[in-house]
Parts: sequence; C-alpha cells; structure tokens
Amino acid sequence: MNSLTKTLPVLLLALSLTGCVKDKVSRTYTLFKPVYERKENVLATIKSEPGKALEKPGKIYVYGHYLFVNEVNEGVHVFNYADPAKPVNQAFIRIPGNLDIAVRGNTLYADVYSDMLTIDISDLMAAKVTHSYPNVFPERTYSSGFIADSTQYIVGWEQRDTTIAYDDPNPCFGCVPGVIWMNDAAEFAASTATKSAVGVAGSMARFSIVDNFLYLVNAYSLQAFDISTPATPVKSTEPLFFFDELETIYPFRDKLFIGATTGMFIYDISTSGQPVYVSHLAHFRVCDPVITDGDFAYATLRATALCGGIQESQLQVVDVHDIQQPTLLTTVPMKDPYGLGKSGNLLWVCDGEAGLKILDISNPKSPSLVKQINGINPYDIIPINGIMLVSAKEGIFLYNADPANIHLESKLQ
Amino acid sequence: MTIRPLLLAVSVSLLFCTVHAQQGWTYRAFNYAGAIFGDGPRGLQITSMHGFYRARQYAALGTGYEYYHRSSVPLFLAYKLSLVPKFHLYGNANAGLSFLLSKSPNTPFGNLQTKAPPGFLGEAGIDWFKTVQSSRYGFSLGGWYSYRQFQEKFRTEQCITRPCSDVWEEYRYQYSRWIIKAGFVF
Repeated sequence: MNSLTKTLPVLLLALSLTGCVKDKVSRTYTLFKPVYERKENVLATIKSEPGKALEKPGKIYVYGHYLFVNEVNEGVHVFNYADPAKPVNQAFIRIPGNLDIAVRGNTLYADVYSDMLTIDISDLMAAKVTHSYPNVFPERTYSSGFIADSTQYIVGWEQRDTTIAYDDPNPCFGCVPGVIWMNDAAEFAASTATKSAVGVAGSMARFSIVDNFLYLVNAYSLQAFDISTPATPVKSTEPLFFFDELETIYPFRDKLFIGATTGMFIYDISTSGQPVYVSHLAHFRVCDPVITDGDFAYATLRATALCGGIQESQLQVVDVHDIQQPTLLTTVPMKDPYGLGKSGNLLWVCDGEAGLKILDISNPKSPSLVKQINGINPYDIIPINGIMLVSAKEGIFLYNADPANIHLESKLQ
Repeated sequence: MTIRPLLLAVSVSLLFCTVHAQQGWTYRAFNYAGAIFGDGPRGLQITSMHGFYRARQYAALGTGYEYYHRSSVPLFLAYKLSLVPKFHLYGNANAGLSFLLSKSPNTPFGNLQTKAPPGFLGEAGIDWFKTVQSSRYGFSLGGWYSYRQFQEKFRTEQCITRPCSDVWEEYRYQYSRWIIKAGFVF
C-alpha cells in the first residue's frame, strides 16, 4: 500500500502530461514600420551647424581642398584638408535623408529622401535651400507596400521585435529568413573625370557632374540635368530606364560607366546632357561599382544577400580598348568589396571587413596584392593629388599614396 | 555535424569514472532504444546512461542520438528511484541539453549565418526493470514523457539605408512527445 501511494502521484503526473504532447514553433523577427513626415517640416530642418564628429560616414566628395562626407541619412560634413596632415572640420550641413552629394561652385546637390535639392553653400555656415526637385529617387517613397504621398517623406522606420507562433512544427527548416523591407539606398561610384568634372566623387556615387550637366542614377533610370544655372537644374533629357538595378556612375572623358546589379553599361555623353548607349558587359547578379582609366575598367562585384549574389565576390578587370566590345580580362577573389580607386599602377580596393587592399595592376592581366591595410572597414575611396581619401566605418582616413611609402597621413573623426 | 557535444559527453563520462571507486556506489549502464510518438512523424531515440546506484537510487550521465523532425545529440543527467520494488517499477527523471546536428544551411540570399545554441531537454517516465537472475544483466521497458527545445538564429542584412546592418531572426522549436523505451542493462 505504501508503494502504491508513492507510485500513484507519478502515474497521475504522467497522465496529466498527455495534453502536452504537442510540437510548437515560434519565430522572433524584426518588424519595420515606416515613419512619415511632411516635406515642409523636413526641409525646414536643413541648416548649417558647427562641425561635429563623424558617426556613420557614407559617400565622399572632393571639391578643391574641401572634403564633403555624407553622414548617412543625417547630412554632410565639410572638412578643409588643404593640409592633409591637419584637416579642419569646418561645418555640418543638416540634410535629413541624405545619401549622395555633388558640388559645383557654390552649389551643393544633395538628395533628401526621394527629392533632390540644390543648396547654396557660398557661406558654409549659412547653407540655404534654393531649389527642390521632386521624386528624383522614387524608390525611396515606397517600400514593402508603404507609399509616401507627394507631400510626405518616409523619414525612418520603427523597429520592434515580434514573436509569432506556428502550428507547423518545422516551418523554416532550410528556408531563408525574410526580415526586411528594403528601401534602396544606393551604391556609390567614383571619378577622376577628365572632362571638366567639377568635383571628384567616391567610387560609389550616384551623382556626377561633367561640364554643365549633372548625371545621376536612381534605382532604375539614368537622368541628366542642365546645371548651367547651378541653383536651378533643368532636365536635359527624359530619364533613360533600365531593367537592371543601377547603383553607381563614373564619368571618364566623354563616357559614363554605370554599375548595375547585372553588369556594366557604357554611355556616350559627347553630346552633353544626352547620354547615348554604347555597350554593355554582363555579369552575374551582384553589387558593383566600376571605375576606368580609359584602357581598362575595374569593377568590384559584391555577392551578398541584398545583391542577390550566388557566386563569390571578386574584382573584375575589363579591357575597354574597344569601347563597343568590352571584354573581361581577369578576376581576383575578394571578400566583401565596395569602392575602389586607382593611383598610378596601384589599385586600391575597399574590401569591407578584409580591410583595404592595394594591388599592382601594371600588368592588368595579373593584378598582384602589394599591401593590405587591416583594422578598418572601408567602403569608398577617392584618389586625389597623391592622397587616398578613404571612407570607413571607423572614420575618414587620408593615406599618402606614394608607392614607395604608403602611410596614414591623418584620420578625420 | 558538430563534434562538441560528443567531446563533452566523453569528458563528463571520464569524470564519472573517477567516482566509481566511491564506497557504496555500484556502476551500472542503461542502454535504451525508443520509439517517439508525438505530433510529428514517428521518431527514434537511442540513449546510453552510465552511472552508479546505491540502495534505491541511481544517478548517471547520459547521451545518445535522437531523430524527431531534426537530428540531435542529447546530453543529460539522469536520476532513477525504485518506486515499487515488489513490481520492479522505477521512476525516472532526465534533464540536460540537446544539440542540433543538422543546422539549416546558409544561403546567399538572406541566411548569411546560422547559429544553433543547445536547447533544454527534460524527460520523465516509469520503467519496469528486471535483472536476469544471479547476473548483473537485465531488461527494462518503460513509458516516458519527453520535452525538447531547439533554437536556430539566422543572420541577415537590414538595408533600408546602406551601409547595411545585421538583423537576427530566431526560431524556437519545442517538441513534446511520448517515448516507449526498451532497455538493456548491465
């Protein structure tokens, strides 16, 4: 009897668990919800402020001895780097939603979410919006079913973790997490344009000024604006639409090299403001800024989730002697490449977490690594006057590009 | 397949052997093969428990292999108590960790990295256990309730504006089942 009194509770416990024989699965993911703001409220916040520290540096642009650094979605830092060893942080121009910049004279061209602005910077400490051009980047007005009307911008995303339960005991074995609603921002592109380019952009820019024209790419079109009157751009042609997703624009002489997710496009701009298709070199689907020296084009192909890449990231060297028929010369494996820049026979490649890679391309068929700078996470670069301006997560780095003595000149923070 | 749980099991087993010499405790191993009955397709469990008994109690360390939706290696502490000696009935309780053997694969389109930290396991059941007369060998048969928890975390990129940042997505699997276990004891 004593034994039974001990056994009974255990048996009852076991029986009571019958209802628990069930499989459950819960999924915890991040939910993003758009935050809208009226355009006039956003534009009213655009103003100059004293120079402040870099927090999330984005694309870079050089004009004279001024370096403009995009603070992702916040605005533009302006540095005077007349003395590369002692750059001066002169001002910060607050521009919400800003990712891209270009400068001509006293006019700063900048995107503000889906629109493009011209901003008078004749007095850096009193920047003033002079013109607004709506819907130049339409991809930033909608995302994942959310659409901002013409009076609003999507200015941010509320983020919260959400957990839901599934009945299916194995809902996601081997499947892909579907977290995000992408709202494109872009990749950049670069230039040392030789046809009267006004400033020099990083290799991942989407804005480029050649002569009196501002060329820019949004996700699916190439647009050209006549900026003879800098403060009031006028469309010089209707947008040229692409099936591919466009990312970067790089001017060289009378050509534009456009990086897209599925290849490189070359356009002729000898008739200013009227880009004409020349040729195209296809590659697998990746993100790819491209630069050229006129004889060869260099493109980094980044195969990540967002770029849809199914092959390895790499650097491609393309022979463009015959501009009508660019041909792939060779490839170099990379880890997570973004922007790139050429200085003499050296090609500097921002390889993300793998650091800054410097390759000797005196023989373009067989680039060889001559130096690797670790400890930084770079993604854009401008070669100018023997200095390599590198935008990295950790700040802006100025390297002396002398092949015999590559070294860090200074760092902007 | 990860070797970490197997190494851990071997290490703890070696540690157990050092206790073997303790007075009053006698080594005994229970080796089970079990059929799993739950919501999902029928599963299989093979476990081996190595430990010591004294009087009516038995404590051991166990490991093995299980397939129920996913392949896993359990690693657990086991406790037995003789409930009704007259009928050779034993109460059992196991608790420990379960390691997934088959993680979801990484993909270039979103699942950039997968982590599968070990999850909790708990089991309770009743065994009928009988030794073959005048030997240390025996057989057992029992009914158990079993609970398993697994986690998988996927890293993907969030890129409303670039540079992109990482976002983790987590799946938590909880399996509750009955297991009929047949055991060989020595």
